[in-house]
Amino acid sequence: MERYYVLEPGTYLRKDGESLLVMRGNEAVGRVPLEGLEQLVLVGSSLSGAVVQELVRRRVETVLLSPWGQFRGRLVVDEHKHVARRKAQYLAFSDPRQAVHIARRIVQAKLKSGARFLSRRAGEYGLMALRKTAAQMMGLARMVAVEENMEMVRGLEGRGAHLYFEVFKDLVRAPGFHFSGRTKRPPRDPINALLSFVYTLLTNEVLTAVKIVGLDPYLGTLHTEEYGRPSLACDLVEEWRTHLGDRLVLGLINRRVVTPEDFVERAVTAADGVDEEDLRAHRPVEMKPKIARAFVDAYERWMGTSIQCPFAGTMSTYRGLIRDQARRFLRFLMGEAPTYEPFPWWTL
Amino acid sequence: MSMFYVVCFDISDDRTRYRVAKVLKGYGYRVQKSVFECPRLTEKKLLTLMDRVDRLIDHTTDTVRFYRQCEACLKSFEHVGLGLTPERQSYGAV
Repeated sequence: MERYYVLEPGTYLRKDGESLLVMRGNEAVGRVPLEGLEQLVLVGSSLSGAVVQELVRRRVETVLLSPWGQFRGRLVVDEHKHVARRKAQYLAFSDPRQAVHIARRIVQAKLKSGARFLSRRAGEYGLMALRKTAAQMMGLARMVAVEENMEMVRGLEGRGAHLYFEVFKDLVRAPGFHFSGRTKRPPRDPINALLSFVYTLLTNEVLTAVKIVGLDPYLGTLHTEEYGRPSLACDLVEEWRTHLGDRLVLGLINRRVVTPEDFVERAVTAADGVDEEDLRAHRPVEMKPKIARAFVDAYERWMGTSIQCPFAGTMSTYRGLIRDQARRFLRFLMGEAPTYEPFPWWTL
Repeated sequence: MSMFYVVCFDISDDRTRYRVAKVLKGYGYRVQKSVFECPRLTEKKLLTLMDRVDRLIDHTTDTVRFYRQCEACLKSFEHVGLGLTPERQSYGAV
């Protein structure tokens, strides 16, 4: 067991010898052997002090998510290795020209990937609207390629994301789901909840990959420094969003694996709405535990999907690709590669 | 390279048995009263486990046996009655 997900809010972890017990009240609902555990993802569940000690001692990366899949925090044991690598990263990111160059590559790849995805689906469903948005996104990608101003790069990225999510509803082919644009913090409908959840999991994958190669996940370029935000992971996750995140979510919805009945809406405890109606609109959506497990199953199978790497020609898995890309990013920072090549989804 | 092991034991003293079971719970799952399945043991972990068990048991009365199962063996697994087929997933969820 390398990764373990605790998806039931309201449970807590207890240490029992050399394994962890997942408890609900006085009853154990699961047991996790600690031997070989590398990552623990807790969704709305808590843990005792003894468990924290043990997780730190065994260097298990522990991620805490809110019940609707929003990142809350992580328990990491910092590795003080690879000072040279971090130094290269800080130097690259503090040089404005380098910073823009990296951001540009990332945004360009994101726009091209998104456009490619939309134009493919446009062919499948025979929808002109998708084709039109794809063309607009390609145009933005060309603009980004020669853009020297960081703020403009960020603006183009936002514009592209907006266009993309405007037509996203046309990609949903199952009845009963409504999507009227992307909402975060908290997501307001099942589709947004699924997207948030999968993006959080992907950001985690990237963060792990970044840490493995010894870079500092908290300094990025496209995403500004913000307290507690792993900016570099947020930057490098961009190239995976469409093809690893959206495709998985859409597949689950369109194949009727998840239905609107699999979600519950909950009142927010922190009332910060203007009136009743506003509060209702801000009500976060939660996956029922049964579907959350099915979702994690699907996600894990998905991350294990085999694919041929276009750079090396070798077979890898989606998870392997993310790790490989982090290594490529490192090579670029260390001056062993002329530029960073994001994963070329648009050629596949 | 991790390997799948079936660990069975026969231990007469209650206290010793409890202690051995407690160690084994850290490496795998209890599928029967005195049978554990450890789905992902590396060579090193196996040796560590054997050594730890070795220190606990009474060599005049107790035995602990470790059976390694290859992928093909696992695929041809059969059972009658309760229980699930052995799994080698790299993740778990509850």
